[in-house]
Amino acid sequence: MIIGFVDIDTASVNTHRDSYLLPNITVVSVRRPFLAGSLMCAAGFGGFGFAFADLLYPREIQFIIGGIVASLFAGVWLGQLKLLSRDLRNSELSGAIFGSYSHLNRIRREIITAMRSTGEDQT
Amino acid sequence: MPIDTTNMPISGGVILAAALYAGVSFFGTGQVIAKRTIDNSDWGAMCQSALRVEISTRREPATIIPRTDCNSLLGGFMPELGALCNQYGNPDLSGGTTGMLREQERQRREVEDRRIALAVSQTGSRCDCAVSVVTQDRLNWALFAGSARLISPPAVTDNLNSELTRALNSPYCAQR
Repeated sequence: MIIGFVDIDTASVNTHRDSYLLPNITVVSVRRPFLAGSLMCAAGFGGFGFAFADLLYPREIQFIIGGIVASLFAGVWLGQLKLLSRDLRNSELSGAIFGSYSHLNRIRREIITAMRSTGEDQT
Repeated sequence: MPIDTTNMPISGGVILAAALYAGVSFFGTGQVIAKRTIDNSDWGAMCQSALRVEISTRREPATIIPRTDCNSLLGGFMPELGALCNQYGNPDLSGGTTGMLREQERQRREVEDRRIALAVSQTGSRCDCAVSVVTQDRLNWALFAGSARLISPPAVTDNLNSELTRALNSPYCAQR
């Protein structure tokens, strides 16, 4: 699942916002941008629940545990695809597409395959 | 102008999570922990009993009205005269003045009893006021809750009772 749109053809990658010519793309990157934050939230709320277990109701502790699980899941599941090119150096990095990490990784490999075939065609 | 978080030493996701956690601690968990810590400290019962004692010490002393009936006035000196008074119905020698004073005193006591009962019934709101003043120290409670007791500001731990007492005696809560 991805939020947005990516289409790869023989010459370009088209997202819902931008189109990139394949020869100009230098880096295709997939990251988990919220993993560190979700780990931080999970650690914080986990510590809170553990430290104040004597003052919290059972349903509140359950809610905190649910929140931690959801936060960790979101951090691991959510990915971000970035298409970087030389032209975008020192500017705001664009082309960010959010979606499931595994799906975006699949798209990354497809883009690399398309880039390779474009490069071979040119030689 | 958009902020480029990619050049920051800490990623935007971490900053967002930190802001979220701080906000939840400041507005949510800190306040919950404040109320429950105070509830668990028996402050409510302690405060109400202290206020009841304080109110009862403010009761005005009873006015002493001397007995002016014939037996009391004359019987003390000469018991025979007291017996004579009793034979004639032990009349009041003040001409009804002490009876009137006694009635006024009874009415005054009634009014004061009502005032004290009202003040006692309002002790709860004064105690709640003190709790509300102390829980308004959001930053200290947020630090306490957000750090999972690792940071324990004295105002919310060791000095909590003195902070509550100070709030209770502050003009803001004293007028409640």
